[in-house]
Amino acid sequence: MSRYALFLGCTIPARLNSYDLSSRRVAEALGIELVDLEGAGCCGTPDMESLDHTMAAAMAAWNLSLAEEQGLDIVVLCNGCHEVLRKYNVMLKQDSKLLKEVNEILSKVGREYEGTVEVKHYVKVLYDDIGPDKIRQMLKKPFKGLRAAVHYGCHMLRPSELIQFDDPENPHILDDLVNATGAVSVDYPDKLECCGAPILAVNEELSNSIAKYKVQIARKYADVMITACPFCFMQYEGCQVTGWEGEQLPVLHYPQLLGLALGMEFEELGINENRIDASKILEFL
Amino acid sequence: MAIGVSVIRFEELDPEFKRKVMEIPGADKLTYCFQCGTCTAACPIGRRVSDFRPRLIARMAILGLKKPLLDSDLLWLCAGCYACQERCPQQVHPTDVIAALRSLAVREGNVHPSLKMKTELIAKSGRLYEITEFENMMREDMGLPPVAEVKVDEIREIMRVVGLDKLLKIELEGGQ
Repeated sequence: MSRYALFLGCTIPARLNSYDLSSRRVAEALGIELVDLEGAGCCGTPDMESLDHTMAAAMAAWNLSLAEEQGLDIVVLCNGCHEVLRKYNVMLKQDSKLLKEVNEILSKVGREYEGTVEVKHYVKVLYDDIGPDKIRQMLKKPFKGLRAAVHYGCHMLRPSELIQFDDPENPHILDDLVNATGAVSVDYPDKLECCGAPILAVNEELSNSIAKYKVQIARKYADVMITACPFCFMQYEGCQVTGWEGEQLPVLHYPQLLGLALGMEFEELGINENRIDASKILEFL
Repeated sequence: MAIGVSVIRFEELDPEFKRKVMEIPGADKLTYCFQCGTCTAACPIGRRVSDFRPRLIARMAILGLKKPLLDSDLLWLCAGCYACQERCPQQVHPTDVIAALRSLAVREGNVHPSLKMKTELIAKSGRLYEITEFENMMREDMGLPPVAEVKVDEIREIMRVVGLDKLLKIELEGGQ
């Protein structure tokens, strides 16, 4: 049984308990143990390096040191946390000067990061520790004919030089996991493009228009959109709530999709909390 | 709103500026840029806001057009999606260059208010959104455990040691 420290981040417990709930239920069903990481806070956000590179590295290292203390690797549900913690973890391990500089800062709060922790996205844990083949064997209600538009999200894949998640131009991990549920991951134009979330606080209209553009394309090809990041999810739901014309496209967190195929109910996976009605998905089970 | 300048006056260029940018980790290959424009072609913001062009930003940084760059609001429009960084044939790391330029702009007093606000929120509760008893009650109703408490005093102390409070001219609540 694999065991990880769950790094929740800021947005999920405040806004998207449905993602937390579905991730935990699916992990339980698959035999992955998630231990809540005590004391951890914000990862620093991908914006922190725009203020100060050392601060961003120190904040990441501080969070990593908490998991190191518990002797556990970190699993993240949010792409923002993924980018920050995974990127700085690699940088700290590669650059002994940076690690020393950061540890001098951490020593002021009685901490040290030795560099023994691994950071993994939830999706990657499912892929590496369980795998699509085993998932297929565990399904109780596989989907039939459900077309899914997978959205990886920028910070699951990029910057690939440091994050090393999958091929950044032709990724397959999340598609494979979607296909394992019986659904079919469809290709669609600009699949790997940003959801617009990072500039929400800078230019809301532009941010919203980027999300709308993606959903408008995706709904031509798919019955549901699949995300594995709270920000991407909120963008794609949010842009369909006001000023949206035509049919809405349901959005599911990946573990919600998988959970349904494993035989779980809507409420168990928090799908009843989603803002876009997803009940038509049941027709494909 | 345009970031560019129509006339470049040599006396306004700061030839040392590119060195300052390149000192910041990630931005050290700025001068490798040969202006191919792959970054701008890959940019989801540039596609929608014609004034936002990573190639132009790189050129201006190399030339040393410090003031028009660091004063510009456009720096804050980058989504940090790294599409340009993946595709740059010269490994200039345009996303990292823009982050480096932002951090230099912050030192000149140009910081987007949202970044300042985010920092204040993190200093206050350790998270972007404070988790109160109410949120934990909602979680309990769904069968979720309460959110573990953040060691926020440690975060504040780290911010103090790095000097983030002085940099952003903010008060860090609580602690010493």
